[in-house]
Amino acid sequence: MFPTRALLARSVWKGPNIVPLPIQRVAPGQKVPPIMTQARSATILPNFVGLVFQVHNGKNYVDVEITEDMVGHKLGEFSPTRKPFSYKQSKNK
Amino acid sequence: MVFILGNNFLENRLLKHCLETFYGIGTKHSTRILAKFSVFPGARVGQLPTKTINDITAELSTMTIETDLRRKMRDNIQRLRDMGSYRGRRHAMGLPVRGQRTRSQILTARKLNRIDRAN
Repeated sequence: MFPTRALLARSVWKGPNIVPLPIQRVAPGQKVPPIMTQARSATILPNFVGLVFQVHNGKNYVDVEITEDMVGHKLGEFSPTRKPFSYKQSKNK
Repeated sequence: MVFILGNNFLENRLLKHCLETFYGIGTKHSTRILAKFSVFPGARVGQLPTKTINDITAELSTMTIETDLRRKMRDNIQRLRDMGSYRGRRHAMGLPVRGQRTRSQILTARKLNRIDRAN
Protein backbone atom coordinates (compact mmCIF):
# COMPACT_ATOMS: atom_id res chain seq x y z
CA MET A 1 0.00 0.00 0.00
CA PHE A 2 1.21 3.50 -0.70
CA PRO A 3 0.41 5.78 2.22
CA THR A 4 1.33 8.91 0.29
CA ARG A 5 -1.09 7.96 -2.42
CA ALA A 6 -3.85 7.65 0.16
CA LEU A 7 -2.93 10.95 1.78
CA LEU A 8 -2.50 12.93 -1.46
CA ALA A 9 -6.23 12.78 -1.74
CA ARG A 10 -8.03 12.39 -4.98
CA SER A 11 -9.42 15.63 -6.44
CA VAL A 12 -13.00 16.21 -5.36
CA TRP A 13 -14.24 17.02 -8.89
CA LYS A 14 -13.25 13.53 -10.05
CA GLY A 15 -15.56 11.81 -7.60
CA PRO A 16 -14.60 8.69 -5.64
CA ASN A 17 -12.81 5.77 -7.28
CA ILE A 18 -15.82 3.56 -7.96
CA VAL A 19 -14.98 0.01 -8.98
CA PRO A 20 -17.72 -2.33 -10.23
CA LEU A 21 -18.01 -4.91 -7.45
CA PRO A 22 -20.47 -7.83 -7.42
CA ILE A 23 -22.74 -6.69 -4.62
CA GLN A 24 -25.88 -8.78 -4.37
CA ARG A 25 -29.16 -7.50 -3.05
CA VAL A 26 -30.67 -10.40 -1.11
CA ALA A 27 -33.98 -10.50 0.70
CA PRO A 28 -33.67 -9.10 4.26
CA GLY A 29 -33.04 -11.93 6.71
CA GLN A 30 -30.68 -13.87 4.43
CA LYS A 31 -26.94 -13.70 4.94
CA VAL A 32 -24.81 -12.14 2.19
CA PRO A 33 -21.73 -14.21 1.28
CA PRO A 34 -18.35 -12.40 1.57
CA ILE A 35 -17.24 -10.65 -1.62
CA MET A 36 -13.79 -11.66 -2.77
CA THR A 37 -11.93 -8.82 -4.50
CA GLN A 38 -8.47 -7.77 -5.61
CA ALA A 39 -9.53 -4.13 -6.05
CA ARG A 40 -7.67 -2.65 -3.08
CA SER A 41 -7.93 0.84 -4.53
CA ALA A 42 -11.71 0.86 -4.50
CA THR A 43 -13.19 3.60 -2.34
CA ILE A 44 -15.65 2.42 0.30
CA LEU A 45 -19.09 3.82 -0.47
CA PRO A 46 -21.96 4.23 2.00
CA ASN A 47 -23.89 1.33 0.51
CA PHE A 48 -21.06 -1.08 1.45
CA VAL A 49 -21.66 -0.63 5.19
CA GLY A 50 -22.40 -3.93 6.90
CA LEU A 51 -21.03 -6.12 4.12
CA VAL A 52 -18.01 -8.40 4.49
CA PHE A 53 -15.26 -8.17 1.87
CA GLN A 54 -12.30 -10.47 1.35
CA VAL A 55 -9.51 -8.15 0.26
CA HIS A 56 -6.40 -9.53 -1.43
CA ASN A 57 -3.04 -8.70 0.14
CA GLY A 58 -0.86 -10.29 -2.49
CA LYS A 59 -0.99 -13.78 -1.09
CA ASN A 60 -4.34 -14.52 0.53
CA TYR A 61 -7.64 -12.82 1.20
CA VAL A 62 -8.29 -10.94 4.45
CA ASP A 63 -11.82 -10.58 5.85
CA VAL A 64 -12.93 -6.97 6.34
CA GLU A 65 -16.27 -6.06 7.88
CA ILE A 66 -17.23 -2.54 6.80
CA THR A 67 -18.39 -0.11 9.49
CA GLU A 68 -19.71 3.41 9.15
CA ASP A 69 -16.35 5.01 10.04
CA MET A 70 -14.62 3.44 7.08
CA VAL A 71 -16.65 5.14 4.36
CA GLY A 72 -14.09 7.48 2.75
CA HIS A 73 -11.15 5.06 2.93
CA LYS A 74 -9.95 2.43 0.47
CA LEU A 75 -10.35 -1.33 0.85
CA GLY A 76 -6.59 -1.93 0.83
CA GLU A 77 -5.99 0.05 4.04
CA PHE A 78 -7.57 -2.74 6.07
CA SER A 79 -5.61 -5.61 4.58
CA PRO A 80 -1.92 -5.43 5.54
CA THR A 81 0.54 -6.52 2.87
CA ARG A 82 3.69 -7.04 4.91
CA LYS A 83 4.43 -9.23 7.89
CA PRO A 84 5.36 -7.13 10.93
CA PHE A 85 9.09 -6.92 11.50
CA SER A 86 10.51 -9.17 14.22
CA TYR A 87 14.18 -9.65 14.82
CA LYS A 88 15.31 -13.21 15.58
CA GLN A 89 18.98 -13.66 16.29
CA SER A 90 20.18 -16.79 14.54
CA LYS A 91 21.76 -19.47 16.71
CA ASN A 92 24.67 -20.11 14.31
CA LYS A 93 27.98 -19.03 15.78
CA MET B 1 -1.51 38.81 38.82
CA VAL B 2 -4.21 38.55 36.16
CA PHE B 3 -6.40 35.50 35.59
CA ILE B 4 -7.09 34.40 32.02
CA LEU B 5 -9.10 31.17 31.69
CA GLY B 6 -7.93 29.89 35.05
CA ASN B 7 -4.22 30.60 34.52
CA ASN B 8 -2.43 33.34 36.43
CA PHE B 9 -0.07 35.68 34.62
CA LEU B 10 2.30 38.37 35.88
CA GLU B 11 1.23 41.87 35.02
CA ASN B 12 4.26 42.90 33.03
CA ARG B 13 4.06 40.00 30.54
CA LEU B 14 2.96 40.62 26.95
CA LEU B 15 -0.65 39.56 26.38
CA LYS B 16 0.24 37.97 23.07
CA HIS B 17 2.85 35.81 24.76
CA CYS B 18 0.44 34.78 27.51
CA LEU B 19 -2.17 33.69 24.97
CA GLU B 20 0.37 31.56 23.16
CA THR B 21 1.08 29.52 26.28
CA PHE B 22 -2.29 27.80 25.82
CA TYR B 23 -2.21 24.47 23.95
CA GLY B 24 -3.82 25.12 20.57
CA ILE B 25 -3.09 28.84 20.29
CA GLY B 26 -0.09 30.03 18.33
CA THR B 27 0.87 33.28 16.61
CA LYS B 28 -2.02 33.15 14.13
CA HIS B 29 -4.84 32.73 16.65
CA SER B 30 -3.36 35.11 19.22
CA THR B 31 -3.09 37.86 16.57
CA ARG B 32 -6.70 37.34 15.61
CA ILE B 33 -7.90 37.49 19.21
CA LEU B 34 -6.00 40.71 19.82
CA ALA B 35 -7.41 42.24 16.65
CA LYS B 36 -10.94 41.22 17.53
CA PHE B 37 -10.83 43.21 20.77
CA SER B 38 -8.74 46.07 19.31
CA VAL B 39 -5.73 45.52 21.59
CA PHE B 40 -2.38 46.68 20.26
CA PRO B 41 0.20 43.85 20.01
CA GLY B 42 2.64 45.34 22.52
CA ALA B 43 0.09 45.47 25.34
CA ARG B 44 1.08 44.14 28.75
CA VAL B 45 -1.45 42.13 30.72
CA GLY B 46 -1.63 44.67 33.55
CA GLN B 47 -2.52 47.56 31.24
CA LEU B 48 -5.82 46.13 30.05
CA PRO B 49 -9.23 46.95 31.52
CA THR B 50 -11.05 44.09 33.26
CA LYS B 51 -13.77 44.07 30.64
CA THR B 52 -11.27 43.22 27.89
CA ILE B 53 -9.83 40.40 29.98
CA ASN B 54 -13.31 38.99 30.55
CA ASP B 55 -14.09 39.22 26.84
CA ILE B 56 -10.89 37.40 25.96
CA THR B 57 -11.62 34.68 28.51
CA ALA B 58 -15.09 34.22 27.04
CA GLU B 59 -13.63 33.99 23.56
CA LEU B 60 -11.06 31.40 24.65
CA SER B 61 -13.69 29.23 26.30
CA THR B 62 -15.58 28.94 23.00
CA MET B 63 -12.48 27.81 21.05
CA THR B 64 -11.17 24.23 20.98
CA ILE B 65 -8.01 24.40 23.06
CA GLU B 66 -6.24 22.50 25.85
CA THR B 67 -8.11 19.37 26.99
CA ASP B 68 -10.78 19.54 24.26
CA LEU B 69 -8.16 19.65 21.56
CA ARG B 70 -6.11 16.86 23.08
CA ARG B 71 -9.20 14.69 23.38
CA LYS B 72 -10.15 15.40 19.77
CA MET B 73 -6.71 14.43 18.54
CA ARG B 74 -6.68 11.26 20.63
CA ASP B 75 -10.14 10.33 19.35
CA ASN B 76 -9.07 10.78 15.73
CA ILE B 77 -6.10 8.47 16.12
CA GLN B 78 -8.13 6.00 18.20
CA ARG B 79 -10.75 5.86 15.46
CA LEU B 80 -8.11 4.89 12.92
CA ARG B 81 -6.81 2.23 15.28
CA ASP B 82 -10.26 0.77 16.00
CA MET B 83 -11.05 0.46 12.31
CA GLY B 84 -7.89 -1.59 11.84
CA SER B 85 -6.52 0.73 9.19
CA TYR B 86 -2.89 0.92 8.12
CA ARG B 87 -2.42 4.42 9.58
CA GLY B 88 -3.79 3.33 12.96
CA ARG B 89 -1.42 0.41 13.09
CA ARG B 90 1.58 2.62 12.31
CA HIS B 91 0.63 5.04 15.09
CA ALA B 92 0.34 2.13 17.52
CA MET B 93 3.75 0.74 16.54
CA GLY B 94 5.44 4.15 16.71
CA LEU B 95 6.59 4.03 13.08
CA PRO B 96 6.32 6.60 10.27
CA VAL B 97 2.77 6.93 8.99
CA ARG B 98 3.23 8.82 5.74
CA GLY B 99 5.33 6.40 3.74
CA GLN B 100 8.81 7.44 4.83
CA ARG B 101 11.74 5.03 4.84
CA THR B 102 12.13 2.86 7.95
CA ARG B 103 15.69 1.66 7.40
CA SER B 104 16.94 4.82 9.11
CA GLN B 105 15.69 8.30 10.12
CA ILE B 106 12.81 7.16 12.31
CA LEU B 107 13.75 8.92 15.55
CA THR B 108 10.98 11.54 15.32
CA ALA B 109 8.39 8.89 14.55
CA ARG B 110 9.50 6.73 17.44
CA LYS B 111 9.32 9.72 19.75
CA LEU B 112 6.02 11.25 18.63
CA ASN B 113 3.86 8.63 16.90
CA ARG B 114 1.61 7.03 19.46
CA ILE B 115 -2.12 6.71 20.14
CA ASP B 116 -2.17 9.63 22.58
CA ARG B 117 0.08 12.13 20.87
CA ALA B 118 1.24 15.23 22.68
CA ASN B 119 1.69 17.24 19.45
